[in-house]
Amino acid sequence: MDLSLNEDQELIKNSVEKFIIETYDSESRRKTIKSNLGSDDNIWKQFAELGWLGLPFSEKDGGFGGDYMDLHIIMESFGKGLVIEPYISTVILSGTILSLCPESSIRNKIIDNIINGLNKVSFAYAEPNSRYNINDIGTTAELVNNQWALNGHKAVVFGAGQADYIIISARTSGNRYDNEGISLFVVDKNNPGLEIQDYPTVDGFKAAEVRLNNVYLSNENLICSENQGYNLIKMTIDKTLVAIAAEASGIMSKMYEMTLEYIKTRKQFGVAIGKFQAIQHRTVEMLILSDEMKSLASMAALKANDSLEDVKSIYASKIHIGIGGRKLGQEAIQLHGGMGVTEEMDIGQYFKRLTMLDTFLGNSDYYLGAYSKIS
Amino acid sequence: MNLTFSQEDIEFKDEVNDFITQNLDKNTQKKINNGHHLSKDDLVNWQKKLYKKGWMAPNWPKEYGGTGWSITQRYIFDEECGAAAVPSVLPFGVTMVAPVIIKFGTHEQKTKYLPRILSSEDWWCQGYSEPGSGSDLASLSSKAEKTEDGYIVNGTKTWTTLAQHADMMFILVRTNSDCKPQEGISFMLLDMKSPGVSVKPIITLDGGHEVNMVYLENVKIPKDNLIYEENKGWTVAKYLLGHERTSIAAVSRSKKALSKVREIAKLNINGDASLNDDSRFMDKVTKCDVRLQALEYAELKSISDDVKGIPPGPEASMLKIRGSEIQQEITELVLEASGYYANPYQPNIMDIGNNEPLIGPEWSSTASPKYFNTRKTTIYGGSNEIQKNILAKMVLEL
Repeated sequence: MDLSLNEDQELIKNSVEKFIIETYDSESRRKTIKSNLGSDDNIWKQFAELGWLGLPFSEKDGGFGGDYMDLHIIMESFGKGLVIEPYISTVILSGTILSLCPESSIRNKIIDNIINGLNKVSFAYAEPNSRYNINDIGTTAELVNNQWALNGHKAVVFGAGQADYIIISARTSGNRYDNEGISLFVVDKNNPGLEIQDYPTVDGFKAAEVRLNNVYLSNENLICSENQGYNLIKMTIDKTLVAIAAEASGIMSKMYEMTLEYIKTRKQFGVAIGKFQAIQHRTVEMLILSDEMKSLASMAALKANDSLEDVKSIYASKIHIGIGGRKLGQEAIQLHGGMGVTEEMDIGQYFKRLTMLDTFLGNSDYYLGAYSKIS
Repeated sequence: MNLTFSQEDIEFKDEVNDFITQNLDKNTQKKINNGHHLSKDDLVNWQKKLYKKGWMAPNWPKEYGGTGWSITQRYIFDEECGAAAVPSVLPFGVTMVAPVIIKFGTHEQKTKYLPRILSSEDWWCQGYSEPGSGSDLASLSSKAEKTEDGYIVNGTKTWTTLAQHADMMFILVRTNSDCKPQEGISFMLLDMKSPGVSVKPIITLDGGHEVNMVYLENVKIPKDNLIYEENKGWTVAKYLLGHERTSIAAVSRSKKALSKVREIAKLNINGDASLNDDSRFMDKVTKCDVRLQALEYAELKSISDDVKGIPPGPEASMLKIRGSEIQQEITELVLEASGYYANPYQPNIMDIGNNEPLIGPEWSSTASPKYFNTRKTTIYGGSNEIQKNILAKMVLEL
């Protein structure tokens, strides 16, 4: 056992932290959100140059073969910097599902273009009524004259409006809720029949409703073995959970730090409010919650490096985002007083992102249930 | 003691419901049901209808235009208004400054301001907090210098709710700096159209514009606008805060909001199942309901005292603490129910003339903004930490 970072990991950590501090300030982040474009091209180019877009891909696929701990390191810093670039939707969600699919020219080309920063990709797995059940798929794909015809509605697809390709989960056989019978297709953004309703999210990201009205695709757009998509989606989601646990850890430690700074400087009754014991105990509780997040996120990454079979640590980290993250977030706002609820203060921006992370890929109630089932 | 309704009470209940059905604007009701901000017109139109009916000020003595209702009638009125989703009457005039004017005002002040509050001719706002004086209100530094015919005020007020629409502000200013902070404060009435008053919006986390900064530069306040005595403003402010804390409990609104959560829980939003089948979620709803029931009784007790003319004591702080927490809990439940549809940001979806297509169910379209915005309830009206300090000091005598 060794819980310290190796030399390569130290390098990644230093380079991401340096980038966040030097380049990714709150003002330019807000400017990107206001632009409604979803990301800043210049920043995305730098992500490619720094090798971050290729980090989780295997060397065979042209990536750097980074493991879960590498991903953890980069995402923790992204959390601290509150990065809104579509790294999760393109590199982690879409990148992972593509890399799990068998090699094909279309798969390899898109992975290549992700790594080089030429393409953004989005993964559409949720539907309006499916809530967090990835096997509840109403979108259908049927073979008509040697072409696949896709019909359905994909909900809250992150980054879809800015993506060059969208990966769609669709039912090719079986009944509602069957794990068997789900297939994965890749669709070009310009494909006829594809309707994308793009909108901002409350935490500064972009998402879209994606509707498929007779989207015709050739067989090469079916990127997994027919009917065998479910396990690939599940593994992709588990891997993404490791990444967002790290992001949440970065956000929570930053919120704790910002709040500590605030209670040291804000004066009421002639003293800094941090002098009051009632405030001190609550801030200590925030430290503990943030530290727990860090532990759970690290544990999840290290366990995932061994195998994705045992997902308890991963689920535990997701549960803590919902329960511990909510508590810490609410305390951070409360201790900032009125300033905490203003759009102008950064603490609220972190609060919003942390809140939305609970709704992403299954909330704490969902994973409490899932964890209880496997324990 | 009993909780039963008489025949007259039942008839009164019907009268309230008839009134609401006949007078409540449907679009306003829709906005409330879906948690959207109301416009000035939404609020004023409803208040004017209440005024015409004589129901604007249930909390006032009858001789000034109050309703003279019994505690049961007060309860029924609140209950029915909450259930029907009517706009909440803006508290700054009718529940906050009016009891102060009634208690401390001169005859001239009463005849000048009270009728205009009743008829919603004047929109009031509250000038208490300052950038450096939030929880520690007594440290406020807006300075009023005495002149021959009144005062000249300089300073900055903050978190001023809906000041962008206000005609009048009741304001705490410093009239003496050479004494204990509480002893040098005066309570005055400020005409917002006075030269030197400027209002700047503060945008909150949900993207809304409810609160403001109000800058005062050499603003003249005539001496007739001083309430009670110079340097006795703290006494007045404390009297007012007791009233504010009682009204802040928002029991009937929370009951309505929680019943809405139960309706949402019945929808098939989890595949072909509903959240009603999810005991993890439903237990949270019920726990909230239990706290709300306790709060309801406590609020009734305070209304009962009010009807008897007993002013609110420090116990009002308990109503504020639990009432504000419950409001927040309910927004958490709606947020959780929303799932992925908590994410889309569509702030203008209910505006008249907006033709953007709705994303996700209507009820979830404001779930996140509402959750973010409602963080304010444990901060405003004296933060819950301050309320606990008051209880520790006044009730526990620590």
